[in-house]
Amino acid sequence: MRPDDAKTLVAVSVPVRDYVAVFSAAGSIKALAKKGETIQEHFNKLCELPSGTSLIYIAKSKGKMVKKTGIFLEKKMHPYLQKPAILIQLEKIQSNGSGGLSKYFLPEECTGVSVAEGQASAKLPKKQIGRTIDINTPFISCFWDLNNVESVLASNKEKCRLIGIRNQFAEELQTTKLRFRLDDGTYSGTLQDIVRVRGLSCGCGYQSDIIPSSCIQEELENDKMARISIFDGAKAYLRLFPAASSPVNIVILDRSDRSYGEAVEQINSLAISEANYRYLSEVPFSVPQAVSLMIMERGGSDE
Amino acid sequence: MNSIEVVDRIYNCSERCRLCYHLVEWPELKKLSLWIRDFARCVKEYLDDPEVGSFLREIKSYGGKLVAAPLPPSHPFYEAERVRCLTKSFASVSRYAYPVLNKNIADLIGILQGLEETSENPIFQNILRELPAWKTERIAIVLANRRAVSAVAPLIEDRYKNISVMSETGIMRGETFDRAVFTAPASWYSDAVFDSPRFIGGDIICVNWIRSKWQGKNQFVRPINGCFLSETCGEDEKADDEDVFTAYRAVDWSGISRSMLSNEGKEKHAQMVAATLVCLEGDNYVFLENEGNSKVLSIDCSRKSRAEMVQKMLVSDLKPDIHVVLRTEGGSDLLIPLADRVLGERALDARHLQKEWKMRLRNKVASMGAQAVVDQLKLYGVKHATSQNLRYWTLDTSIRTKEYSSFEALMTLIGHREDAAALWENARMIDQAHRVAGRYLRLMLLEQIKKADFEELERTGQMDFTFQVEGGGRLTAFRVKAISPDIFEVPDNRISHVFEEGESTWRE
Repeated sequence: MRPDDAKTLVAVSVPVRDYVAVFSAAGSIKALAKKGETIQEHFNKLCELPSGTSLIYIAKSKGKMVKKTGIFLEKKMHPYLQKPAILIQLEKIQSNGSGGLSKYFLPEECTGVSVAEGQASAKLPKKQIGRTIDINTPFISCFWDLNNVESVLASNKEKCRLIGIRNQFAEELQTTKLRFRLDDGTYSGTLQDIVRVRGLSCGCGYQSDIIPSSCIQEELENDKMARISIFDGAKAYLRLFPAASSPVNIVILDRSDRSYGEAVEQINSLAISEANYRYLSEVPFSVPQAVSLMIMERGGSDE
Repeated sequence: MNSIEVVDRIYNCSERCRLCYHLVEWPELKKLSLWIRDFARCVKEYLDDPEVGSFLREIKSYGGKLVAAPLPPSHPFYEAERVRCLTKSFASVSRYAYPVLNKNIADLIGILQGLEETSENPIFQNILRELPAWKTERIAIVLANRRAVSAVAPLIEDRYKNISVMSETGIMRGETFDRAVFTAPASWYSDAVFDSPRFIGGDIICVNWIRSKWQGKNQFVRPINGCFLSETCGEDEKADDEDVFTAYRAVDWSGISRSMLSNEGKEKHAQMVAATLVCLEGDNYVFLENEGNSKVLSIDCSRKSRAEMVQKMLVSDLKPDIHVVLRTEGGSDLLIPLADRVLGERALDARHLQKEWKMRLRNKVASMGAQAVVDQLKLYGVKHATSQNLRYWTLDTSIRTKEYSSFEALMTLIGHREDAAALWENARMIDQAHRVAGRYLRLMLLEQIKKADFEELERTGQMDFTFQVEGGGRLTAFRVKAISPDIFEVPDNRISHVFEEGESTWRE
């Protein structure tokens, strides 16, 4: 992992801004999704949790995906199937000792189970129906190339934030349709299914957020830092970079933007004045001719 | 938002863009260029004289028009006749004031005559020569300023359906072209036109002594994949960077003012007001009154809180990039219909009484003359009796004087002394209604602004605010692009009306 003070600035100059930020966000979310964890590895990790750990799990209920909370009790053999499983408590124990429904989860059922981050102890209800969430699982699995998509989506995380015009992002995310054609079929969805911006009808399991570039710096002072900030446009960068920068920052500059020259000038002066930055001279992908790219890194080492 | 297909076409243009320079000779125009250089050197020490500075500006602007608008030299767009008259009039003044310039002026008369007698505009000819070869392509002829578009378009578009004549704002609107023809040096266009091209082949046709080359300056210092500079062909070796003409994209303040004020028939009862001409986003213009403490509603996006962003500011303090809020639909001033709603049933009578004494005062000024009225008011003991204040009191926008004693003196002057108290009470009532309406208007605007996306306002430079009240109409916030250095005398009915350059009628 990168140390906290590590800063990467990716400056991208494009002929027109449309879709660049949202596709960058989709790429960032994919890059940050934990890869390579098999079902068994995930199960083993859960088995090692201390008893009483708050959990979230996503399951299908009446044809819909729902999100529920639970408490990890112990690792135990399934009483009928005689297979290793974990026991999760789903409902509260009543004062008269009744209730307290618990359920065994086999390894393959654990893909939707994850630790509830930031919650010391979950408060369980008497009866749990769960919150309906909107997940286009096959499409997301295909894009993220993950087996246990549900475990990633079980918790809200602000991995990435888009800084710019909310309405533009919303339109691009919700109306841009993508389709993957694989050997076993065709999977389709929208960019929002992948980027999962908070508040844009993704139910829960959001992975990113939008910060309007019109907001003032003071409003961001107590804001939780995201792993990646994407500044869409010169104004967003010029106004909010000091307050909203993250360990990794992507600055998208539209060459037809009125403030483009000013933003380039500021990035260039940062590049010239900061001795601690090192510059990447190549990237492992081809950059289109219409795009100009400069990557500066300070401190830490590559992930 | 552009569709993916449009975005794809724009990227394609950026990847394949190639600029080609075509340098043309125009000896008569070069003579004018050399004359301007020499004249500017000669009059260096006389530039404090507004006559000299203004004359030099006019000649530079004339040269700029010839370079930027590809038209036959006799075309009325160039206003050659007016330039000739100006030269003669300047010659008659300078003959006595600056006899040292006599030779220069005589030379200029010869040069102007030579230019008028030129049968062909070499830039125009160059375009006409190439047009048949460009039959199958979608072509944009991009002029450095939109005023020339309406003059050039009929000559080209009627004959060639595949060609559109447009300004640089036109070519940045999302459409892409196989070819774009630029009729002025690259530096006369915004950087964005070449930084983010909307065409594959670009032809810059320019006179051969002005440096025409585009120098992409907005580049990262250490880019991974090199620069996005377009490939170029052609040469501009002969160019000596001698660009003495006023780049035609610079605002021709006096030209715009002149063309707008030439529209007669609306000034019968209008008062002349000192006004600043302001260039707004979207090639819009407005005259804003600039006398004393004249103010305009503004939005300053750089302020921290939204309440601070909206404020009335002195017209004399306006700066580029501030946004001014102007009424663009439903009459000139929303305040009056709102105040009338506050007045309710009393509105009609109150307005009638007010109108009646204003009319009498105007008639008095017309019959006696402003100075005589001022003198009379001074005799009545009005401390603030000045011609400027008198003009203000005759305006419909002013409601009453500050002090009752001054008001009474005005009423005495127009023969309404016995009604002075009643009329004062009436004016006070209107004034109060205007204040209530003003506060309400500001609150409504603040409500709209709270919801507004300022990033979008800053990006587009223009935003509409519509009020859901009877007669609410529309207010528009415009970014101020430039402010005229000179003050113009304008009829008061043209103040605060937004108009487009080249518009012959007022948008009301």
